[in-house]
Amino acid sequence: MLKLSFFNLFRRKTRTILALLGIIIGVTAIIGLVSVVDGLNKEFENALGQFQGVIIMEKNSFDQTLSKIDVKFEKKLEKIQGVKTVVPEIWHIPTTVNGKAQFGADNVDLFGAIYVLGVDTKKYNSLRGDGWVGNIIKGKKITSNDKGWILLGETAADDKDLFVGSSIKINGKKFRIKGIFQAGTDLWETMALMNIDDAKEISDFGDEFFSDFYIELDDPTQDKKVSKLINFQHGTEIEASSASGFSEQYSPIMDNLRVMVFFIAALSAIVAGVGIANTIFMSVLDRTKEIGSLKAVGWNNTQIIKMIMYEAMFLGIIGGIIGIVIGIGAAGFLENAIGIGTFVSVELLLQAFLFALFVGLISGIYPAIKASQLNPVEAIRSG
Amino acid sequence: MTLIESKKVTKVYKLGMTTVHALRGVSSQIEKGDFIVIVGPSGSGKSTLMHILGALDKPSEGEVLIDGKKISKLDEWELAMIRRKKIGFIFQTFNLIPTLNALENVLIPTEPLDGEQEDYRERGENLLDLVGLKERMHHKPSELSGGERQRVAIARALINDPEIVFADEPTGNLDSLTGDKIINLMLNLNKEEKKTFVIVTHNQDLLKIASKKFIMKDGELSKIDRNHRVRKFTEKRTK
Repeated sequence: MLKLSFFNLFRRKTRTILALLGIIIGVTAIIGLVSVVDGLNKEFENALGQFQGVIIMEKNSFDQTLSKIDVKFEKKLEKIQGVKTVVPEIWHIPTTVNGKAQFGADNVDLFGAIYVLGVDTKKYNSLRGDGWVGNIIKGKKITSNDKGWILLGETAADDKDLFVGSSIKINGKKFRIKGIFQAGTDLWETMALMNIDDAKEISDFGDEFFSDFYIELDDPTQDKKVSKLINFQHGTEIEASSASGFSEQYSPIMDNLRVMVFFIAALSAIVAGVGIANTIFMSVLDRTKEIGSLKAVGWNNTQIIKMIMYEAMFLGIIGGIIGIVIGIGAAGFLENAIGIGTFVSVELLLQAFLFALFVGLISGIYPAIKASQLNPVEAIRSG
Repeated sequence: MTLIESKKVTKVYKLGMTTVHALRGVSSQIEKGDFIVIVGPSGSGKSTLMHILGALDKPSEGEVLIDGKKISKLDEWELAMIRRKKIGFIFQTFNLIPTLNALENVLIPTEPLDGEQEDYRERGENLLDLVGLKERMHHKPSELSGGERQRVAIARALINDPEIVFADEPTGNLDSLTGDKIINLMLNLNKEEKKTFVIVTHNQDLLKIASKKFIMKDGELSKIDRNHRVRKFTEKRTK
């Protein structure tokens, strides 16, 4: 019977192809769009994997560039048990780079913009881990003596054609590049790392405030515990978050986003399901007489339903497979030609395929029941 | 031995606004080994009678007994089972599945009987041999002539070894020479395989070869005797 149902699909090729097209587009959309969300998710995970400490920010400040903390907390935090090093940081988004506005009507490239991170380099260089900066691929680290020098991320360096020794003007002040670093993710590679006094000079941070503190712990696995302790003691003004706490916080948001994007893309597949239902229903009407004779030779309603459901299932399977192939291609295109990071997981492919199969089966139900209810006598008499 | 018996069967159906009395109290008996021909003009109700005797349809009133079982008491599933095991159908327009080859078409009625397909395959090949299509069993219906298609349909009707085969205008879409061959094939199957045939047609010539001859007119069935005299056979409904 599988063979019969399968070949039935090819009796009206154009109609079948049009119905398939709907489901293919749906599956392609699911894979294309969800892979972007998954790619973003992965990027975040890589970024978070970069540091193992605790970040102290102003309460409810959302991120480092929006946070402002009194300098007095540096001493207070150092006294907390389990804290090894407290690195004061100034995060700043410069308004101009090389005399050009970073954000304007003609330039809204959020990901291409250069960030400034000013740190207490003495403390920063004593960190066990890499901190924000990964390995330095050219040049050298900056030290507390390197006023006017920066470490620049590779992405920003490539983007602006800069090398070790070249100079760059940030908010009007001239800096020279001491080294170029790679980080695990693009997010950090547009960063310019400098001494905190330089950062104060080009931003509006005076001597009373920093953006945040990066804390290294005696035992990195205690990050949640120490964060809790800090929040307990100073929770009215500042907020401590650990890497593991971060991912716990944002992963439900990412999951919701993923489900939302999945179903927006799935809408097109659901529309395709209506198309499949229509296609199969039309083909049932076309084959009224044939279905009548199948009943006459002894097929019962269950067998008729099965035959039609198999047809719907095959549409789902074929559409799903072709959609997956094109979807993988679409994700590759987004990544390579447009530069949007994507991640196509086996899980996503499976979900998209099962969805196509599900849509196929659901849309087969009505035509299948209708076909089984055909009166054999009238069916044979027709046409 | 009586295979199928009808008792005062009436069939009334609505066609738009009008009510059609397709059968007006038909009583008949089909015995094992019969070669019955029912003639009658279009719209006389002969196809309706065939559908009711073949468990495809239920009578409005009266009763049909197949192997002594009242079909009005059976549900759709049981009717399908009776059609599958005891009855074969041959249609004017053959009604083969265009995507399947001759052998697969012959095997279509066995599809519900899962697991026994292989035994049937051999039987299907033998049946196609019997109807003279051994060489063409892997051809699609579109590659076969009208007569060959009807032979496939006959083999399909016989695959489950039914006791009785109903044929509705089996030669209606064939030229007379091919039609004669098909009728001869059915006659042979009647004689050699002891298959019971009921043929409805408006081709009066077929009456010559029938073992029992009937004429259908306005929903009433009459027997034709040896001298071609028509004897009223239909019992009027008495109220």
